Amino acid sequence: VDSTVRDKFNINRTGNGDTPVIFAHGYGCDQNMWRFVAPAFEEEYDVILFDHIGSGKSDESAYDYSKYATLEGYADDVIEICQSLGLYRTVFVGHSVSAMIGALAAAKQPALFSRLIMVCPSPRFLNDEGYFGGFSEEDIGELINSLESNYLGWATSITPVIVGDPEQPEFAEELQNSFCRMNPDIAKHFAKVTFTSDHRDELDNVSTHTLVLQCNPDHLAPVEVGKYVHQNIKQSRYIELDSAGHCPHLTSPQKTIRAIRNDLKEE
Amino acid sequence: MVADEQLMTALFEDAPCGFLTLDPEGYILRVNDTLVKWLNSDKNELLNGRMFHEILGPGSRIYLSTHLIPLIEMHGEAIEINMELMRCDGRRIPVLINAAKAYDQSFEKSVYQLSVLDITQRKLYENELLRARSKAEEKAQQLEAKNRELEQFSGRLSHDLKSPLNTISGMISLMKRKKLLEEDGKPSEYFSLIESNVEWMKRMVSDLLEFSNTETRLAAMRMVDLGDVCKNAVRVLHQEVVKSRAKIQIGELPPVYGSGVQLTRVFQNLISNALRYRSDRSPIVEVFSETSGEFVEIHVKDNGAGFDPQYREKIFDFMTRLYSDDEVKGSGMGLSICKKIVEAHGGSIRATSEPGKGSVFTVRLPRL
Repeated sequence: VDSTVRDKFNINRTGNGDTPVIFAHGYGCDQNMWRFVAPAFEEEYDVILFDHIGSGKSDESAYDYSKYATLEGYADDVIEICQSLGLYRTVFVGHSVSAMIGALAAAKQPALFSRLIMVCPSPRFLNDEGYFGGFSEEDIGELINSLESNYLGWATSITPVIVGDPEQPEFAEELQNSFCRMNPDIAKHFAKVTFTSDHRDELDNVSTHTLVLQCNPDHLAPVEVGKYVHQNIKQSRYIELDSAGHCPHLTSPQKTIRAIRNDLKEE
Repeated sequence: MVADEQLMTALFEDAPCGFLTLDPEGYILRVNDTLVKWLNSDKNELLNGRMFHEILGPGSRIYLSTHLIPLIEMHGEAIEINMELMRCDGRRIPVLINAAKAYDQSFEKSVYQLSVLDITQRKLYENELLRARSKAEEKAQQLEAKNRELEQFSGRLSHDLKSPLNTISGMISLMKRKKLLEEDGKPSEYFSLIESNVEWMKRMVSDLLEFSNTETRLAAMRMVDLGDVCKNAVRVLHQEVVKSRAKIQIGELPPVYGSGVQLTRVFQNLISNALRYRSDRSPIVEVFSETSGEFVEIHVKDNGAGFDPQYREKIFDFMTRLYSDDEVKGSGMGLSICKKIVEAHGGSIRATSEPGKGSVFTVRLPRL
């Protein structure tokens, strides 16, 4: 395996099986999100975890603002990972924005994927005529504000002027060491791209067998949205988990494991 | 026991902060009176199947799923999370949330315990600070751009002024060398006047360039021995010292933090002034120091002409002179350059004098 690719995406490969299963994290955190679910597949599958560029322990310097201005940039990364690990007919499990990243990758390179498992997917978070995404553009603006106050904190966002040191090496180190923290500029950019993109039209290009795993209620990717994804991907099944929220892999890991396992067994 | 329980209940319900217990899926299991009051809501309604995200502003609602829940699940806790509560009437309350995962015996499952602080006041100040910050940054950028422009302008100007002057003085020396000028007589006298004025103007232009190049913020600061600085300054002035038969006494001087080159320039200017603005007596210049609180003061004392104390501030002004060129040559920039350099070191400069009784120039610099 190319070690530069491994380091760039902080790829961790475990498991004893032959069939590769990639778990891709959503916006906000990193591969740790899968810590309650991924180990359950290690015995039977080849489990691959990675961090999107800009998240977790990925190589932040590889964050190219123009490449990642659309989700296509992330989809190309998934293809790069598959190709460099020599993966073929992979099961791709993606949460939230990564569900769509997986769909884009599968539409582009169908041979690389045998199955898509879309956990709480949304092709568009913003409302549109005849489409309920759940959010308005103002809402996304508010999210960016709350990212600002949480990532930087009011004190740190005024200190550079007072101290006159915009580098803040200590602060940067602290960021790297803590969970669910990203470079604030990347966090804002990724949020904007995640929550303002529209990939409804691409769903039709997905020919891979797909499972849509939907929580009820999910206030980030509502039931209507999950159903929309199911209706627009030809070879898809739709399962509603008996769990509320947007992170079933964290709050209901057993139900999530069971649903994924059942789907894989049906192959 | 009963009294204790009542006390605990009262503390929970009426505490000056909000308390919430959440089901990991987001349902509200417990809420205290304080929070109900802040939300202007009804407790029973909140406990009857309402979810936490329903009392959050939209931005916070997204943040809840993408950050807060993952943090609590993976870290066991989340600290100082900025969020916004939304009352039914649409009013927003900025809050600071601390959360922890815990096992709740009465619900017999893992729950999230949240404490909620109203930070409306703080948020106002924060926003004020942030606004002030971006304004300050904008101003600083404008100033920087202006400064760069000015530096370029004065650099170009001095250069452009110098080249015709060089041509003029070159032509005059050529005329002299080729003996085109009569040794005596009016033309020669006029030309020597032209020559000295051209030289004079060249010096003005160089001083102007130096003044504009003197950084207001020093990049390369390090430990500098002021004794060495003064000795260097005297070495540069060697010819003037010999010519004026001056006696220069340098006492024990401390090290300071600064730019050796720039500080040498300061003492070179001060000592040179002492030699030029002299009295009839042979110049005697004494340099000595004393400490004054957090500062060291270096005095440059002479027995020269001195000046009227009413000008003790004016002499540091840009291009200000107390003497005409016929008396003593000068550009009127030496002391303002000194002032600029000393201030860039975090210090100050002052002078005391009386006509005919010499002057003392005092450089005050931060003590190591």
